[in-house]
Amino acid sequence: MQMMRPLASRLLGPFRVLPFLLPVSAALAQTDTSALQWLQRIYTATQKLSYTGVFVYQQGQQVETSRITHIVEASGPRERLETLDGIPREIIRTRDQVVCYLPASMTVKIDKQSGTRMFPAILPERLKELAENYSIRKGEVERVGGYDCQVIILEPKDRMRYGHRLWADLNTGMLLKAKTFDEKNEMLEQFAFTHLQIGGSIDRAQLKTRFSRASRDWRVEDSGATRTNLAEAGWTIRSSPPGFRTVTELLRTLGGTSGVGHIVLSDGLAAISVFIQPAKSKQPASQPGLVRQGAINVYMRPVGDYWVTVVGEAPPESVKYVADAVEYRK
Amino acid sequence: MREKLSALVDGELRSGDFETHLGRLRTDRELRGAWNTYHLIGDALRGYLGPEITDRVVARLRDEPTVLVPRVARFKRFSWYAMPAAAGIAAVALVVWTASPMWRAPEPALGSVASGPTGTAGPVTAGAPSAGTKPPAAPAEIENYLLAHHPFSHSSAMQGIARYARSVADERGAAGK
Amino acid sequence: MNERDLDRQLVERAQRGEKHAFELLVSKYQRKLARLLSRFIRDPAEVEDVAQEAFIKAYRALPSFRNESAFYTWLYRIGINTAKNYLVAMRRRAPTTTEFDSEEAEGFDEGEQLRDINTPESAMLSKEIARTVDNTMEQLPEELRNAIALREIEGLSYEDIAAIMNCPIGTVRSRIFRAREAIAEQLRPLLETGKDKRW
Repeated sequence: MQMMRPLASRLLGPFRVLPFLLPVSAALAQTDTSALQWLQRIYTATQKLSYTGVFVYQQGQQVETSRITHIVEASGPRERLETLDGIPREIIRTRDQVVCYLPASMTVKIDKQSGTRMFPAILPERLKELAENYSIRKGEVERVGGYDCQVIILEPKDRMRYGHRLWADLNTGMLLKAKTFDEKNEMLEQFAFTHLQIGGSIDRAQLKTRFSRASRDWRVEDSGATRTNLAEAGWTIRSSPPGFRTVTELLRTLGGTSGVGHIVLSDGLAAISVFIQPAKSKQPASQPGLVRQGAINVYMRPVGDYWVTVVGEAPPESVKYVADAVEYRK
Repeated sequence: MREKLSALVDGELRSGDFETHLGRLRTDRELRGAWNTYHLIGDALRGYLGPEITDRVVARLRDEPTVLVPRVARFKRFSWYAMPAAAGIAAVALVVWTASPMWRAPEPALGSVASGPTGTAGPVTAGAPSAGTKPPAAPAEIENYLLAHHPFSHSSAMQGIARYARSVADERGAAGK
Repeated sequence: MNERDLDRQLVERAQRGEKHAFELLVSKYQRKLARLLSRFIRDPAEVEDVAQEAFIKAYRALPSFRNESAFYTWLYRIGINTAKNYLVAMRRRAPTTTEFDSEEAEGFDEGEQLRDINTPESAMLSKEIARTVDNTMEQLPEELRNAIALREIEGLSYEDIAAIMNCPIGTVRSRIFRAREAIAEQLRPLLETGKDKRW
């Protein structure tokens, strides 16, 4: 088994930063363009590099350790995440789908991958959008576990989103640490690698699930998500919080209920999901209001015979704003 | 000193001493030797005799990636807290776990923010309270929403599944309390 | 504080990255585990291999160990599984390997007669150790011998031993310590030479 190395030692394959051109605009004029390049670099690194490591995610008092292995091959990237404490849970991602194993409930959840992940934005126009909503600049160079990292600061331009700090390896751009901050500048969550091997020879066996899916004990939930136009069904979001726009609309199965509408809004970084389903499909009956934990806020309210649930890594105001703006018109 | 080790082996050493001695065992080879010998004696008295495999296991352990399991949080893991809609309360309170700035784990403070953080939006109000209190949303449900949300979430970059892929059992346990 | 707390502390330390804490547990339970495995596997050399395997498996499985159950109980289950898997694998390769009904073994109790888990190489040393321990015990002053016997063989707490021997707990502690030291002293030459061999 490939030995994990502490962050201080690493193996690198050849890595080149891909140059790209940024459109110039007023928003960008006040942004440090090299900071934006860093974001692009970070994203490219997490996608294009092969790596394996252990990271710790912390939120409040809860801490969880996970192992991640990401291998890029001809057929595309493959990735496996596995929690290392308590009952092991896994996510396996390929280009086409995400499979999540939850052994505690003996459930396998399958989701079609709807495009690439959104953070940080990969397309130039998304970067521009990001710059409109956040003030992005470079911070100091700091050491994280033996690697010298460039700190990138994303400061929200209003109170409808959270702030972020990212630590990216100077050499490869790999994201080694990240923190999310609220409006009081208090840290909501953070993650950091404790062991990391970039490149070199990575054991493909790390990508295999430890579970046997053949077992009939698993309950399989396939989201069956398909693109749709919910406006045709009468659903609109009257207005979004500043900077947020709709990026996708889906019809999917959720928790055993089919035909659940799912709208995703984004400001280029933070995402807010809106779920719409018949109220009677929610058992036991839910209660309206806000539920929050750390960086996630969930706001629920009834609209006619339906139930709207809004989820996002955005402040409660944003989540409530969106929930209140959901309308049904026929 | 070795007398304390003898007591430690029997589980009869008091707390403070105990930690100190466990620490010493780490660095003091002679003390470790005593640990091994005391256990050998106990085993011999009980009639268990056999070759010592510790050295071989230790050698193999050197090549094993170090296991790192976080301390179980003193409070419920990822417990959800919803504002109970008690009759008569119009304004909400946001129930907030205060996050520690670093990795320390302070007591979470249950703060009641009557007007919500100052911002462009007004105070976050809970939905109209209904007669009696309904139970908060089943956490298993929220897990479903979070899972559905995850592919779009920036936390993908944090590569954490911690926040949403938690066991239903944990959730039910937390909800039940 | 009791023995179970001791184990729990060691496991917690191991889970936080202190490998040496796990090594202490290995040293503590190696023979007990080997004895268990010998009920499934007849060849002592194979017992050693499987025991090693079981400890490594246990180390890797630490993340899924919840400190509510006793460590040895958990280790015991891992040991049994490892032995079962080993037997299954052996069945494929060597049909003449002695079959052993593992179900029968699971119900064993501590008082049963032991099986010899020594290989030819270790047998001599083990015999010497056993003889040395027995001889030293016989020569110990009675109160020391009783104290250590009540602790190691009967598994009583210091408090209970103090009640039986009608003396303060501190005295119990000191007697057990002195008994151990006396035996350790006699074992010293054996263990030192043992270290040069496969030990």
